[in-house]
Amino acid sequence: MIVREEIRVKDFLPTGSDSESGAVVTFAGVVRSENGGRAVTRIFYDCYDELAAKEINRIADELKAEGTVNEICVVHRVGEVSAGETSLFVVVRAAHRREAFDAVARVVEEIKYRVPIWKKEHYADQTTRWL
Amino acid sequence: MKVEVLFFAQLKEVLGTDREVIEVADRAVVQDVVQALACRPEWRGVAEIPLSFAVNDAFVPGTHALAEGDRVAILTPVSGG
Repeated sequence: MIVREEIRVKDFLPTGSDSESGAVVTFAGVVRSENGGRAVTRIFYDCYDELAAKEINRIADELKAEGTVNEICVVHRVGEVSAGETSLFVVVRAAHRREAFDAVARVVEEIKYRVPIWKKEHYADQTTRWL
Repeated sequence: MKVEVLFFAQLKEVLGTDREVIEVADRAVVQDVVQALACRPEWRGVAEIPLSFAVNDAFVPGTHALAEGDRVAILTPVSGG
């Protein structure tokens, strides 16, 4: 899902029992305060909301169709995100840890490659750059 | 016919708008929309950026045939995460 407010990680952690999933792996992508030697104050994420939401769902569906993952939750924040704040949160539940770790890594890579979201870094010297 | 064109990120900044309605020929394809925009002087700043496309919220190739009222998104390389 696409959100514009702060990602409160605990709101997206699994609740309740799930005896089929022996592994729950989470990933939080956080805006770093440095990139390529430059001090980053924040990132502005632009987003094609309708297509981004569809593509995130498609990525999750593709991975689940492989049969090794039970549940995938993806939350991407867009708009202004300050250094130190979470921009992406992924939760995967799977029967085994290896599949869960692999799925989290693949989800993140697919998001970076496929989902229509763009980031513009804002630097401490007041300059900006689209990445 | 008329189509609505959506812009994001650098394109939105360069063109100064996030969308506009443009007139294209009846048998136009997505690439014809890009050709129409490429005539504008402000487009020079983004002419070298590789583009991809979506119509009505689905990815399509540049050869996709357009219909009246389509919503055409012109996309620069993504960088989410």
